[in-house]
Amino acid sequence: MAFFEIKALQKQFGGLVAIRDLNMSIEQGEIVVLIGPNGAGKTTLFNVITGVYVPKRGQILFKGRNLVGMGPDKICRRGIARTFQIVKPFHTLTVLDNTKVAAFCRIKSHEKATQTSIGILQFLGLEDKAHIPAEHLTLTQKKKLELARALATQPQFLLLDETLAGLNATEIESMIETVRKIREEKGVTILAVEHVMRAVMKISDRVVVIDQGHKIAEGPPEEVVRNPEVIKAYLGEEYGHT
Amino acid sequence: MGGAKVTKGRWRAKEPSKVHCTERYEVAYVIGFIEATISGILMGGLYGFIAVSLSLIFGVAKIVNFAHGALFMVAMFLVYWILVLLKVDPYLSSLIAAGFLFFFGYFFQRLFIEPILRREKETAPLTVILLTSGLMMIIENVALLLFGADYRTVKTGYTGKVWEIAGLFIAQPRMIGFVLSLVLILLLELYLRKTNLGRAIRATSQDREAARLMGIDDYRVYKITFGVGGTMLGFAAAFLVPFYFVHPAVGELFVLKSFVIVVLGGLGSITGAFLAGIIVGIIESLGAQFINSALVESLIFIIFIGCLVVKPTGLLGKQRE
Amino acid sequence: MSWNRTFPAVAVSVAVLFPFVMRDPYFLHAAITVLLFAFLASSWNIIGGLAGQHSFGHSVFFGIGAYVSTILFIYWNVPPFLGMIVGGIIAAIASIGIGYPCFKLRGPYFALSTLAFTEIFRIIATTTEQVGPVDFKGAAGILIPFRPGNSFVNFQFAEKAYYYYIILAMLILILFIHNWIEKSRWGLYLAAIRDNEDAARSIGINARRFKILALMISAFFGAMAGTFYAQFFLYIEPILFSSALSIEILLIAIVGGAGTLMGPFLGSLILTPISELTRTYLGGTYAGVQLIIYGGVLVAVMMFAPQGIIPPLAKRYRKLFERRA
Repeated sequence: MAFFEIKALQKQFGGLVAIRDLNMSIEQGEIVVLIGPNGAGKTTLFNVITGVYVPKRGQILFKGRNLVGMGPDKICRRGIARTFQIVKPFHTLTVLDNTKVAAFCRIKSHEKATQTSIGILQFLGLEDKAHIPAEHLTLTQKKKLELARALATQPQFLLLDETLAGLNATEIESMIETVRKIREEKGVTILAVEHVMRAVMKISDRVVVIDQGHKIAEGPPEEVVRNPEVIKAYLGEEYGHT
Repeated sequence: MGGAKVTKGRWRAKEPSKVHCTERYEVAYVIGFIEATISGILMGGLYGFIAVSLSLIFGVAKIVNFAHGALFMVAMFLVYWILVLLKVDPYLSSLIAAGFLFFFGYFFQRLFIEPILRREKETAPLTVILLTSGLMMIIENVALLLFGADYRTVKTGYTGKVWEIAGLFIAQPRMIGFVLSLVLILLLELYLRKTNLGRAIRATSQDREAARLMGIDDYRVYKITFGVGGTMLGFAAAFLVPFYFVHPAVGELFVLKSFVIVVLGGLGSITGAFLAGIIVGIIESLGAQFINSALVESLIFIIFIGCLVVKPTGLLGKQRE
Repeated sequence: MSWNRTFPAVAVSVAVLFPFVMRDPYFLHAAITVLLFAFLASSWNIIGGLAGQHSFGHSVFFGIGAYVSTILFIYWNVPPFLGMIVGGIIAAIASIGIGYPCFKLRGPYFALSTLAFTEIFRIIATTTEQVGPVDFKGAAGILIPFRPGNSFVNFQFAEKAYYYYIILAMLILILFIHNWIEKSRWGLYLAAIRDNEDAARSIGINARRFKILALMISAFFGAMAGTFYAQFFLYIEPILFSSALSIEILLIAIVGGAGTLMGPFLGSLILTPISELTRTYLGGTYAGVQLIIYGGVLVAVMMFAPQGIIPPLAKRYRKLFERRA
């Protein structure tokens, strides 16, 4: 039984087919990165996996159980967490409370939740901002908070949606390290959508390429990048032969 | 309603010996039924027309304008006073009313709505509903103070007159109003599709940010939209005054119903709003045959809530998930 | 912080001593009205402020409370205090039926659907007369039979001070409950739902369940206010279900600061006297003027202080009116 598997997934909005016959599988402990041109359906895929959208066809199997039809809250409790491409912090709550409310997913008591949350904030370097309302953070800090919140639910499978967008070079390096540590220290399997190719090459065990809702290539990063189909999808017909 | 006990208004094949009084009851009942349906369709068309004016504002500016009914009332009084004081027929003065309401709507938006739109990215429905409710209260009660609480009606050359078509009696003002509304709605559709400003309006309603990036001044679009909405109210008032009553609170009867119709018909769809208006008109008219007319209103609201839950995009809605 | 302890103690003491200092029944009546609307707005504050669901349908629960306890009192001699609880429970159950469809909607659609419910209830109340043994009297409204003297069983008192202390106790009760919810795990859930429902769901919060629970609590206390109203004013009518009342409740909570503990009280302190004064001096011939002023207040607040009048002031006196941060 694969850790995470998608079978024959189809999602459309009226006449627009966003995801077309998608098949994918992920082993436990992998870091898989999803790439593809804009509008390829990557965020839609995340939304389908986490229960925000219901697919027309197909199955999403997480540790053998089909997630299709479950709401986002139930899917989270099953062990899948996500971050959002456009950050969605709880702006009136402090950084600590943002994390705590996620920690309550697994922990009932206030003290333990606070302890766990502070631990996560330390892991991400946010602990000195713990009592600041989330709306006063910079974008980078908000992205880290997004990550902290997701981690607080103690997921086994983490979906990262363009966590690196808008970060400078140093921040990107730091984030790559953090993601690596999440896999090493917490044993979390990761599926990330990314556009920053340098990071993709560095962090991924495997890359899956999506174009127009369909998987067109997958494999180790160095291979995929040289795949003519992939180049064609990004740059157009003329560059396909390079 | 003796006919109701006989049959539910359906023809039943009868043996020749039994065809006498009951048959005439049934015929009368069926005719009454059909006339009620037609009347409902005609009135519904006018409801739909008013709802379309609201749909524009709601769909483009995303504003829940509770003062819409008050604006309509202003238009009605304008047409009324022009008729009573200047003896100008409503259908003629409709142009004046339409023009006046255009500016009224335009400046209404500029003074009250725009500051809020400029201030907040997403206009909290709470703020707008309370704001427009307050404006409605002010406008209505100023009218109440100025004009008093009497229910006024007018008598024009065609008030209360009917046409007889195929044995059915159809109220003239309703028919005329319906046809004119239809024409105006078709013109509106053409305007939105063919002219630049129309396209700008449609673009802004779909994506405010994208429209701005393309150089469209969305604030101007909102003002124009409110103006066009006002214009439609001006015409609608002229169509209604010949057979409806005029009263400072008349707008309240139309406001919530218009919202119901807009949502039922689907946000963003003009034909949807018009059709939904007709459906509501039919429900109202036929429902009144069987149950208390006030309860029919609550029936409409119940259908509204049911529709929102089952298909939030409405009958012909174009909003995405 | 000592401020946090002494101020409420002082405030409560003042409130308790008020009827002894202010003997004039007119002012006592006004104070009771202020506290009643503070209580009612506080009940809305649970669903509207803490959970961030701006329901325009609160008058429904108020009306249910008023009618249930009154009917039980008139026809079955149920003591109104008991009827209050029954009304609360019925309102809470009704809130499930209202919340279930409405909470599927967002933004203006949610507001409109809650508004539609007030109309449904108002129309039904206006058109319902005799149902079995019970005469709801439709639009005419129901007069609560007058029972002389001071009686807790009948929940009627000749001396207004009794009413004052009861509503004061109710207000303190609901403020305690608000505070307890806000500081609990559940309060964090509601705040998360309020700030971003999608994100809240993504971290495992069953938004629908918590919204409905919050609504049930709001409904229960809203109904309690209805019973008090019935027993104080001794007359109820379908207008109690109207959207106008819902809007009034909202405005009080908003002006004082939705979501804050003392917001509804402060909002009522400001708005209710205005409403009462204009009604007294301008009611009757100039009844329209009262509404014009009221409308003006609505417009002014929404255009210039949509977050409420109190929160900006409160930012200066943060220690006194601390919102959970």
